[in-house]
Amino acid sequence: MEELFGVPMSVLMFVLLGIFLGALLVVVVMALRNTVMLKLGIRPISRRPGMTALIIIGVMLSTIIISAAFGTADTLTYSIRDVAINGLRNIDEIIVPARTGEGDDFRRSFISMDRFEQLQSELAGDSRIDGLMPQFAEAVPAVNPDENLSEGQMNLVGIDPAYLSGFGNLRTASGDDLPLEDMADSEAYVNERAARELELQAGGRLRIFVDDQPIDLTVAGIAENGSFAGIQPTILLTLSRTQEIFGKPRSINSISVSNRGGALSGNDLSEEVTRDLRARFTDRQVAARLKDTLNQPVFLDALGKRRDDTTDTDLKASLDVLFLDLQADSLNESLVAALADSDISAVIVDVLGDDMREIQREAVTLLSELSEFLVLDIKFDTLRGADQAGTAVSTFFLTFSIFSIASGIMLIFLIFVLLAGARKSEMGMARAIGAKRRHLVQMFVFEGTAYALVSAAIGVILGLVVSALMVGVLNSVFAALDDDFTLQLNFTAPTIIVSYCLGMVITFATVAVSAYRVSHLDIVSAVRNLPERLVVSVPPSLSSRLTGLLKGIFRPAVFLWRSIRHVLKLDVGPAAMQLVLAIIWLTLVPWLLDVLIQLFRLIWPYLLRGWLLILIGVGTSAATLGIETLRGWSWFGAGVSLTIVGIGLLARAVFARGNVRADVLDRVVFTATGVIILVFWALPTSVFRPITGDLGGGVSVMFVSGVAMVGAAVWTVMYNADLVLGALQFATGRFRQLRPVLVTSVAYPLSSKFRTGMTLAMFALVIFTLTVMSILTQTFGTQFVETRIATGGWDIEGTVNLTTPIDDIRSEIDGIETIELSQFEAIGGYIGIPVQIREVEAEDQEWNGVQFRGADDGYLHSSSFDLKLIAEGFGPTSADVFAAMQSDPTLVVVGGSLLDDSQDQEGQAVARVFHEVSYDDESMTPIEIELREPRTRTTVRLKVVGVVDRIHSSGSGVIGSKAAVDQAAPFPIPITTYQFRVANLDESKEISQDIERAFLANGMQTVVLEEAFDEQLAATRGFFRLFTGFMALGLFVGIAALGVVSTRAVVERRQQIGMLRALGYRRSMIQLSFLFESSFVAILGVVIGALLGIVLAYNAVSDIRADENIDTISFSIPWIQMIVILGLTYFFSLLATYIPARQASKVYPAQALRYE
Amino acid sequence: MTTGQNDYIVHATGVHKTYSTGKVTVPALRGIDLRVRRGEMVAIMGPSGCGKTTTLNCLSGLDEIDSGSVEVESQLIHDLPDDERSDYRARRMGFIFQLYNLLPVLTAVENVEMPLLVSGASSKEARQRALDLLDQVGLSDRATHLPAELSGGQRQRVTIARALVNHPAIVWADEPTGDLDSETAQEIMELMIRLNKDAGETFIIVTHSREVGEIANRIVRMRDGLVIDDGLSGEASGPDSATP
Ligand SMILES: Nc1ncnc2c1ncn2[C@@H]1O[C@H](COP(=O)(O)OP(=O)(O)O)[C@@H](O)[C@H]1O
Ligand SMILES: [Mg+2]
Repeated sequence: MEELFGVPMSVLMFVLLGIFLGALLVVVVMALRNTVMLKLGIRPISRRPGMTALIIIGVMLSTIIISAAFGTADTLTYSIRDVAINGLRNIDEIIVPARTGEGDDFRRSFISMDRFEQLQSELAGDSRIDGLMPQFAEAVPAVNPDENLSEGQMNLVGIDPAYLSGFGNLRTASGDDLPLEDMADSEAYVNERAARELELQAGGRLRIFVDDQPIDLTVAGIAENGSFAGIQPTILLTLSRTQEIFGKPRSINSISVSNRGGALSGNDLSEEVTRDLRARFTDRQVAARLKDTLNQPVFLDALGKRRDDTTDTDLKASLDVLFLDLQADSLNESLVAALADSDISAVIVDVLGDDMREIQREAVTLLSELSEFLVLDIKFDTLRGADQAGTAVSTFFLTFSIFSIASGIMLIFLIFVLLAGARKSEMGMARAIGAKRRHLVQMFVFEGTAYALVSAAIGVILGLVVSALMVGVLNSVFAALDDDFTLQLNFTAPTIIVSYCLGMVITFATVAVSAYRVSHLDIVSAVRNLPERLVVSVPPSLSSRLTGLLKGIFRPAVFLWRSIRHVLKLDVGPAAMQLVLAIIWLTLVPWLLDVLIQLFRLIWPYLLRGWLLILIGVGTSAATLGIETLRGWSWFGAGVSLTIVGIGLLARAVFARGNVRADVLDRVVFTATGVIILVFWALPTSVFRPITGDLGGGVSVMFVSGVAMVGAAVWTVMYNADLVLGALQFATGRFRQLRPVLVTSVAYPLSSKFRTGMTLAMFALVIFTLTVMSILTQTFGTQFVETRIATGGWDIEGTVNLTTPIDDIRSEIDGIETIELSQFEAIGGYIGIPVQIREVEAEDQEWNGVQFRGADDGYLHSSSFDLKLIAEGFGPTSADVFAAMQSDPTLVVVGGSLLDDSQDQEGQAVARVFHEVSYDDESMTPIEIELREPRTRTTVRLKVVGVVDRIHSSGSGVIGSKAAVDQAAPFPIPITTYQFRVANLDESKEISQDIERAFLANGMQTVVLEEAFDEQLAATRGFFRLFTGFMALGLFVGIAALGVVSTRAVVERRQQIGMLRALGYRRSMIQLSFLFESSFVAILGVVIGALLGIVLAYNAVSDIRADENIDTISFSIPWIQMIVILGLTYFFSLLATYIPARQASKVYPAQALRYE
Repeated sequence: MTTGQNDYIVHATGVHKTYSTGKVTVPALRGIDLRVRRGEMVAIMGPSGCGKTTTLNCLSGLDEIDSGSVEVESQLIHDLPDDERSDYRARRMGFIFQLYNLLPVLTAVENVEMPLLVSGASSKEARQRALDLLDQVGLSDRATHLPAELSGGQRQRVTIARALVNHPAIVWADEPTGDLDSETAQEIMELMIRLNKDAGETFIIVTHSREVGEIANRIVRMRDGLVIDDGLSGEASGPDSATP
């Protein structure tokens, strides 16, 4: 894991460690200077072990969540890195041909041994490279004839034993050498993976097929996976034998490069070696032409502007050099290197905007012809990918558990507010007899620090345990996917430190805030132990608020100055403390917060009066609508909400001047505000689209609207809770026994609205996310389209090896005994080729990479893709279009996803390719496109005459006739993918196995599409569930909060319980009162969260249905799962309250009433 | 209502109560005998720590006793199981303590109606009766105030209203005026006397104040866990004879 939310982990670690140690130092200094307060502060910890345990559990929950997310991310990073390091070992880069040459065939380009030997001698002097390996690799069908096991697409790798130095010899898993040079022609090594899958043993037989001819080999040994043996099933031969088998003497198809150093240390040179190799392979002539093309004032102007605009200093320098080099008289080496650099060429293409269409066309073409070889920095890439995956995972988990963490923070706050409540009279006394305010803060901070230190540590450990459990679940998901990737548990020191410090710092900050709040208790109410009422404080004067802001801005200087003053007075302790504070502030985060808080104070009175809020709200909304980069529903909604609150406050201020009763006015205004905000967020965004246009959506909307809706709902309910009570009393009117219990159990939570509102919000937020997740899992974890429809009418897919294609599948099937043509309703075939396309007429002349499906007539004839759009003159039915495509190979249809910025199946963003027509249009005219095969650079002109409905998930990319590329390609193009529609769906499985066996020599591998879809969905659901489970951790927070609140309440209300008993409350009534009290909060929270979650999920599903235009996506609520989640939540809430409730019922009235 | 073999509403004989906290045992009551007639207003007086509160708690059944017997309305109160004793309190007893009388989260009227709700009256009746009693103690305009919004004297008046709301047979009061200034204390005492006269309820009041004692029908004096003077000069001094 490299970074988190854009901050490098190392920086994060040092900053957090700094804050943590700094804060700890301050506390220690304080403690040493005032041991009395230290003793007072930590005394309660050992006095009440039960309460202490409860507090520690509550405080550690957010640390658990953080550490679990980090631990999982660490494990993922480590596991991918392991693949890179142990899979590639000494191989750092791979060189492959970039263009076609003589002797090439479809998809295979070769490098001659002469060229390799030349390169070898050129690079001999380069000390950064310690090995070059000429390689010939190909996929072949392989069989273990003794066990009757086969593998359709087994890697066959030929390497030259003469060049092994730098890579290390081939070895068995136990470390014995496997010498390649004295291997007989009939022998082969296989790797462990191949041995496992085909159950091969040394000395056993192995048969491969090349050009339909069987070749029998003997397994001479089993090589350890990794390096040339790879991690996929692989057979290893000598290079010369491989060349002989494939009839390609002195040809190779790739060169592996080993940098100096081992598997990991070699990577340090990767960037450098890759850059130099790329420059070396740059064609000087093409580069010179590119220089001429780009050396024009329009481009140079645009480039200069980009150079001036960029903030990346490295890039700025490179662009500066490029700028000068382009204008130089002749082609120089630094220009060659720059053009070969993919980062720079990306900038060049980007700078070539709409107004330079001709230059762009030519430059893009030249750039693609610039290199003789492609240099793949495979290890560097994989390692970087590992870090990115770790970062992505931790960001993802943390983002989704943000409510849980927020609830955790609220819980910590709640705990300390309660603790403060418990000490209220004690502290009031202390104040009354002259203890200073800061003494109270100190006392409290000592206690809090002690809790924080312990619970953060336990939290980190438990978090790692949680992540180990999650890794277990993930591994079982991978196993079900039949994937060879397994996660290996691994935690690194930085993440453990960051988790600990983060947990610690969060707790610490919360303690500091609550301590501050507590210390500002007014003495009278503290001594009288009155319930805290909403303090209506008079804001400090404008001038004092302004000075506050100034002080905030210069705070570090103030600390430093004080420190110096103390030093001059030889007061070492205070001097050190001020110095530490200055350092803490200089880590920027506290400083920034400080200034923000002061700023907030400055404007607070104006915010309260409403008009400033309206200004800010309207400004925010307007900005999100007007400024392109700020567009987004979340910000727009936030602006609108602020405006609504502002209007409410303003209305209140205006009406307050009239003779309206204040409490009535408040109720009306605040209820209206809450309800309006709630309605605003609950409405689907499409309602506002006429005004706002499309503001986009995404995950952030879920969070923002979650907070907004839950906040508004809790606010409204709390403001009108007396009505809720009335309703409850009415509802339970018949149960007279319950009525007094109900009165007390609702009166208590309502008497401390802040505490109750917070607990309620915690429950509601977590339940909200869980509900949304459950519904989305249900909706998107089930298939919304029948497999046959999604696939365009096909049931089985079979792929064959490129080198062993089938000539005419129908006639072959006819000749095979095990399968009959009558078993199929249709058979079609195609070749999938990665190609690049661009619209001829478009302003943007960049090539876009897409998949081209070059289909045979069978496929075009029998596919049943619905077309969403049909070009004028080619309809009216989809069948008409496909018929036209069979007779005219220049006609193609494209997938709906090319008409939008969308995501592919792996979730990668795919840029919109077609701009002239959009998916929601009613009609289209044919679009002229150019299609290019990138390696051969064969270009053909085609015409798009239809758009495939998105309901067909296998209908993406460009679909056309194979004949379109046949004519243009310099070699014959085989069909590699076959689609079968079976007559009897129940036989799919057997038929698919029969096909696989019958075409073994072609390397046929089949899948039943229905099964493949199911597996995919099962995996999706598995991930979703894991996720939901992770988020459910947040529920513990809410439940713990109820436990803490109840435990506290028993202590706080001893006398009152005694009183109630004297009045004739039975024990059971006391107990029931406590349970009802928790139920009130838990049920209300659960109901609010679930209802709002359903509303949001409903909107989200409708939005996606509208966006994707797939009518069959149906909203459905997983009732059973929901009932289980909600029921368990409620059950555990009751359980958490049960023990305190029992304690309460055992309060002995005569004793309780004596307590002073 | 019959009073069984005698007409005492409270009849305690030989009540012993010892507190033990770890090693130390405190003999709080060392054989209390006390009889109270229906409708009497009895003041229990004595130095601090002599066992007045303990007596009150033991006689009302809030606390357990070690030996002896306490009959309330001819019921051996300590023989009742906890729940029944609770129900009995709800129906037949009212309590007034020095502090902590009211639930801070309920309004005055909600506090007053609580005993009625506990004994199963309907909401409507309960509310009506509670408002009546608040009116009787002169607080009808404060019905919806929270205790924190009332003065000490007002709070005690609410407590009295609550103690009387269920027409109790006995009202137990433990230093009801102890936390009040003398003028307010006087008012509260007068209120209790008035209500005692009007409704005929029995009042057993623990007090320090001489004035309070003088207002009562009789004074029971205690010292060191014993009744040293039960205020019955001679053998038959009922409520009638005690009134001047
Ligand atoms: N829970 C208890 N544990 C131990 N001793 C107690 C307890 N409650 C009261 N006492 C002791 O019992 C004696 C009587 O107390 P109490 O009835 O409160 O006296 P009074 O009300 O007359 O002031 C006192 O000595 C007191 O210290
Ligand atoms: Mg007492």
